[in-house]
Amino acid sequence: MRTVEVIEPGMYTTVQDAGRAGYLRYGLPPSGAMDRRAFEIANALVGNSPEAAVLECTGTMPVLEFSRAVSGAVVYADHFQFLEVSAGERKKFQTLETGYRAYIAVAGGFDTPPVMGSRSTYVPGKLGGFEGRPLRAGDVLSLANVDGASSSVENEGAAFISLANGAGSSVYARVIPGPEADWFDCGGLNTFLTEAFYVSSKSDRTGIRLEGAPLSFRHEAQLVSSGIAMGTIQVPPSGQPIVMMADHPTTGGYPRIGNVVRDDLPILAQLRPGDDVRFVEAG
Amino acid sequence: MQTRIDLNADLGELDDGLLDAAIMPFISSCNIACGAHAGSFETMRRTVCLAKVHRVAIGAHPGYPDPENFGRISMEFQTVELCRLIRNQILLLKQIAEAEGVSLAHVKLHGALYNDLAFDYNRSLAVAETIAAINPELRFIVFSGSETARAAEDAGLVAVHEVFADRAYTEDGKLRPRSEPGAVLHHDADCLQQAARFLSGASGFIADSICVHGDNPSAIEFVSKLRNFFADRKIEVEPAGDLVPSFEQLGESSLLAQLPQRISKSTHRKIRALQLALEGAEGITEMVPCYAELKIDFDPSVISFSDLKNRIQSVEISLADFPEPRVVEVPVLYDGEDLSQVAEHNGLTKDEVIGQHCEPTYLIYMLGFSPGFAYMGGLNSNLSTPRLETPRTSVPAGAVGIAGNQTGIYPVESPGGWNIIGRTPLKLFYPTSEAPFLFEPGDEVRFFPISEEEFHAHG
Repeated sequence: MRTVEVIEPGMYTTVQDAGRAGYLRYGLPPSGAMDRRAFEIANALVGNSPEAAVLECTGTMPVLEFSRAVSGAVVYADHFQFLEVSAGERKKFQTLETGYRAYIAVAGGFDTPPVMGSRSTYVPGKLGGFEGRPLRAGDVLSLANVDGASSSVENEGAAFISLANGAGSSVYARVIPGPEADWFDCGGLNTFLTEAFYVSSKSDRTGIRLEGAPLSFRHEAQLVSSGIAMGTIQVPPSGQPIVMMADHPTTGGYPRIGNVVRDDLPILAQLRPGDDVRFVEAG
Repeated sequence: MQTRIDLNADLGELDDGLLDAAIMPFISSCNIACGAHAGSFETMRRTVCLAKVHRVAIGAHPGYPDPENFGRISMEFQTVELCRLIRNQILLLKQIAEAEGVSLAHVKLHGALYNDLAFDYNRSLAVAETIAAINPELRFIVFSGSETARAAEDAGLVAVHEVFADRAYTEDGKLRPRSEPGAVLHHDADCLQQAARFLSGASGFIADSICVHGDNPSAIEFVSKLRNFFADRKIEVEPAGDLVPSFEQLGESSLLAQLPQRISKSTHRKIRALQLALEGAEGITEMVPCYAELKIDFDPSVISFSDLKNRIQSVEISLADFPEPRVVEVPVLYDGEDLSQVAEHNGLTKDEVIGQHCEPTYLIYMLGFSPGFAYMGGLNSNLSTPRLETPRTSVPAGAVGIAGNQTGIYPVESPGGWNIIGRTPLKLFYPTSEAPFLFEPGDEVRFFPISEEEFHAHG
């Protein structure tokens, strides 16, 4: 059996795939990779099916030891690398220089037991992935078997795939106005679409918590618990927006000022604490 | 900000119909006196015809049989007798309306009868059931937030919450008695300001319908001002309670079918009925019923937002075919660390808390917040207890708690600020099981007490 042992887990590394479908009405979040585009590219590079499970690495990279020779790929926010490891090799990965999340795919995928149709880890529910938690040193994960050698690995190198707008500059995310956008006053909406917001260190896979000039409401109406999707921007009474991400609760009671468009969600997923982001209305 | 409002007026109360004719163009619903506190065959027929011409919704306005006092003084009746009186008045107007080729849309109680029942749940329920037996599609115009409203919903009717632009309210949500100073707002500007507050949602009252008066010329002048005020703010004046969804977008692949914001059984039934009717439809990937909206996730490569919207609008929904809810019996060992606190807060013994917690049948409006967590309605207000000031860092799965006027069960171990009164051995969320969730939206729940031995026998 092909296995991989975790030597150093990295800051926060979890098994993720395309997510868990069909249980939103029961309150179960979709989970899955935060940066769907990087996840899909990673699987495509190694010739995996689009649903194969990968490792999502957050903040810092893990150190892994592979029992057998494996080919794979690592996709960062702005570039990727192919991976060829020999049997018994202890593999260190290039550190995250831009962006906050990288995806390690191996041919065949990581083979943790599927739970409710997915291998994605949902840590608050302690389910999926490896024992429902982030990886720790000493964990041993199975890799799925592949028939024959993967043939997709031909070009070594690091072609830029430009997943984020690049380091140092302000990033923009396009937003479709939400059902409660008219609950905000002109000043609030103006602030939302002009000012920069900073990523709080309290951000996680549930949501990117932003800090900035508080968004002001037109009136103090209350919302009964209503639906949330990935990318929904909720604004609690503090006026500090939260972009709901892969582990988002399925419902919530804060006004929904807008929704980040699907193609720009990877940008949010790649923000580090302290980075800033601006929103523009999707045209 | 709501964009629709009903304007209702009590008519057919005077022999001379001139004032009725003057106000009719401005309102969307009229409540016609049925011969008990006022009105005759002649006034009923005449008002029905007038409403028909102006396309105003027709409602019965039953009152106490006391024309001398115009139904404004309380009268003692056995509940059965009261229901019979009300039923006869509604049936009479129904017959007259149908003879003129129009149907009865709603019922609103009159004067002292309206006030006497507003905070009497049991008698309101008996009256609401009487109305539902005549026709469950009849709307019941009731004092906003009252016990009559709750009873109407429990009887399967749509409660239309009524507010008053020209009356001052007390802190606890009642009308300030006319005997007190400032009970009536005399200036039109004050009344318009109060109407605006109702529509903004800032008042805390549900405002489906505003009661206006047509018994003197200056009142009619005010109604015409009110119409202009609404027209300026693009607020449609139309009868309430038909529960037709409006549509919103939540990103590129979610559509929200929304009803007016509230937690009510009629809204819930409509949302669930829409969900059931759309189950399996092409292009729909998942649906999440919430209190006042159905979130519909779709695949934009299969169906567009506007095609999906048209599809939903073409769905025929009959509340009559709504399935009987499943009842889930939940055993609880009532040994929670906050049980005595809940008892003390509400001036009850622990046994009384347990008894009152087990008494109602709770309705699961929706699931959300965390996997398998059920938003349940129906807690006896006697048990209402504020959240803990300092939430606990860890509450075990299965803990049964009370927070505000909600009761709930923790499906997974998590931090939480609810007052814990007990624990159930049932698993609300069991990921590796064939049926991972104990509850479905729309289920009914009943709690029953068990002993420590029974609790462990379950495990």
